[in-house]
Amino acid sequence: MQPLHHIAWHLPENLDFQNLQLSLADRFAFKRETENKKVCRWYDTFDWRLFQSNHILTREGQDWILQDLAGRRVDKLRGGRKIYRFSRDFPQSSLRDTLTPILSVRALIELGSADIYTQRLNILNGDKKTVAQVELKKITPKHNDRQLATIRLQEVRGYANWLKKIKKHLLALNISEQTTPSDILLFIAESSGRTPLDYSSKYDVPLDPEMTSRDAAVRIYRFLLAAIRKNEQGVLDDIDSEFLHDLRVAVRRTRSAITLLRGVLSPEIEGRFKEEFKYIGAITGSVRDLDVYLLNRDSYGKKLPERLRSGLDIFFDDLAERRRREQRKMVRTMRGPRYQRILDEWESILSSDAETVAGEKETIPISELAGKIIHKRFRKVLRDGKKIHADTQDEELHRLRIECKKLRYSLEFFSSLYDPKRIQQFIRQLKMLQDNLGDFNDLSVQQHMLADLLSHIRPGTVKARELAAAIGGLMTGLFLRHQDVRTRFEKTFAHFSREKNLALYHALFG
Amino acid sequence: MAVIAVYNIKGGVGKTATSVNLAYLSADSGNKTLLCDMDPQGSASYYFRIKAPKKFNADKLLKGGKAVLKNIRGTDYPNLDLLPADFTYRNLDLALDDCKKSTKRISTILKPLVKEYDTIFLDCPPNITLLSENIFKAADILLIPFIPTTLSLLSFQQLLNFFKKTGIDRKKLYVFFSMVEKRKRMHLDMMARFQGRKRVLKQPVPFLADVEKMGIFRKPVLEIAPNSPAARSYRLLWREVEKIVAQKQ
Repeated sequence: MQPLHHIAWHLPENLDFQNLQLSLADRFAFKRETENKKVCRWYDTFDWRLFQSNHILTREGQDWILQDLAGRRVDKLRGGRKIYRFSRDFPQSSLRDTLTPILSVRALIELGSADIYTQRLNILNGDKKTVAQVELKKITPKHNDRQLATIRLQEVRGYANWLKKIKKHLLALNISEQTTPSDILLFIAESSGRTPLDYSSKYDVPLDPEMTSRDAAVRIYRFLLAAIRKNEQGVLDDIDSEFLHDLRVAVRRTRSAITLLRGVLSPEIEGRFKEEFKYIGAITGSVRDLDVYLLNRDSYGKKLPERLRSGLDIFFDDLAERRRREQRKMVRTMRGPRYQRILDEWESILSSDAETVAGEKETIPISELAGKIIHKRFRKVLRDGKKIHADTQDEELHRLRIECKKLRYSLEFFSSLYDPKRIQQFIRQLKMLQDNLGDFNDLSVQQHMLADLLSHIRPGTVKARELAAAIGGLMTGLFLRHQDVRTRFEKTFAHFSREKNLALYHALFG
Repeated sequence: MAVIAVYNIKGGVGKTATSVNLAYLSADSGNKTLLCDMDPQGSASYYFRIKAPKKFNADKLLKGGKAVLKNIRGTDYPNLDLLPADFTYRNLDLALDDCKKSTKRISTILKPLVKEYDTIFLDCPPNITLLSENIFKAADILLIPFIPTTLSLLSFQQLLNFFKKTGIDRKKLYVFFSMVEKRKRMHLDMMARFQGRKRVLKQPVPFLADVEKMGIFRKPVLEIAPNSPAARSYRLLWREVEKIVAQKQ
């Protein structure tokens, strides 16, 4: 069956509801339904996951409505009085099932709210049967004087000819600029100072091969500093774990860029800010570590037999409590003088064109410097990787992981200087190796944590015994996977360093 | 998905009022609902102020597919559509007789609609004809409004015999008491005889002026007087039918 048509337009400013209704009354009989006034709120994650997947989520009172960007209803849920932040907070429903993979670990935040005044007119035929619906809407965002008025025409099945007649009438009134719910979303977001896709955790800084290394470096640093700033409030308000994660990634990238681009800025500045950003990494580290464990809570639960799960709950509740304490501590430190001073001073250095800031390599074209940096990182990864065999200490693998990360960052920093298709291909190859090393590291960190926890248990109580058993169960599982990932390293590395990939590398970087 | 036919051999037992109000309630509880007006008198269509399109007739209905989809009309209520009846439906029997597989034609016509709707109601004309046999086969549930009188009992007996003869599953049959007048001794006696039997629904629909008003207002009772006893009894009846639908699935 054909879906029903609907069209919506912006109402020109010189045409108010009254005049519009008078004009419609000249041609059509209609019945006014009781007007309706309500508050509507718009939601998305900080990084616009719903918008990116073509969705708009709104709430009117207890009703949650999911639409696509063209205005087709996807789902609706009558919720409780609570405001849901994560998809897991929603009651069991098809809406929750739709949201879960889209939101993942991110929380919903309110993008803005508006008073919506709705007046519906049912257009009637000679039998007083409704043959089309006209919906007039006035949208007034909170904290904003601007208003948006729309008119929406909805077909009733079997009466398409009426739709045509009304449409013609409206066009004659100069109503011609079509609108969709995404326009309204834009309008609402703008009223609260945001624009769709104004934040993404993706690194994206295009460079020009002719640029001096200093200009390129400043551009990279500025982007990363902006990422830190954008995530700050979310970290302080503890909205979801991704704010801190993204902030730390930007800090790590900055540190890495300082090392890779050594000599572009003055040695004093580079030396000092390497330390300063290390400090920011350090003060945010323990909360992130605890986040990683807590994000694993569900998957740990599934790995244990039912009987041992209560022990696990004690453990995770304890972790959650520790995280609360660490979070408070971190917020205090971030509000303190040193953290703010670091970022302010870094910012003023990036906007200064003083000679004192410059290093010896500042005028080298970035394309030249980039090639050298990537070569150096790649050779190091190949050399270190080849040395690893079955009996190598775990530490060597961890070191290789760090080297791979440096290579990865340098590829990302400079990717805009190279053939996009090939560089993406090469990054994919590197990513496979990084995934293996990442899993390996992840599993050993987790084992360390559990071992640490085990040594702190005071034996004697039933609870302690259950907890110990739960930890034992988890450790066994982690150990087996750790072994498995370790044995797969050789194959993964051989795959990365195979002839074909080296040829790809040389085609890219010479 | 369920096809619910509202049927009785006798006329004037409240079939159309039942179809209209139950279809309204089905739509109101969130099911995409279609009411097919099969009665050439077109009373259900009249209640919804819908006229059959000029080009629509019995032949178009029997053709099925797009010819039918094109003639479905949206009612004034969310989730509720209607396939209007045309006066040419009075000859449906003759036309059906000319079709191949003449007893399964309506099932074939409903097939594409079953994909679009959660619930389909068939408001059937009285009589026991080839069309009725078609409808018995197509329906998952056959809802029989039953005025508690001896004459009704007789016609019900005829229906049972017909089912036996044609081999249609008698478990589809559900009876409820319609147009019940509490002051009539015979009504109460008849109800007492049937009450508690299998496939006899508990909720009766009384004979009430509010139901008659549907013809004046051209709206379901649930819209005219949502808090009236008539509206209440339809609501309770729908709850019972809903349960049967759930069991069948």
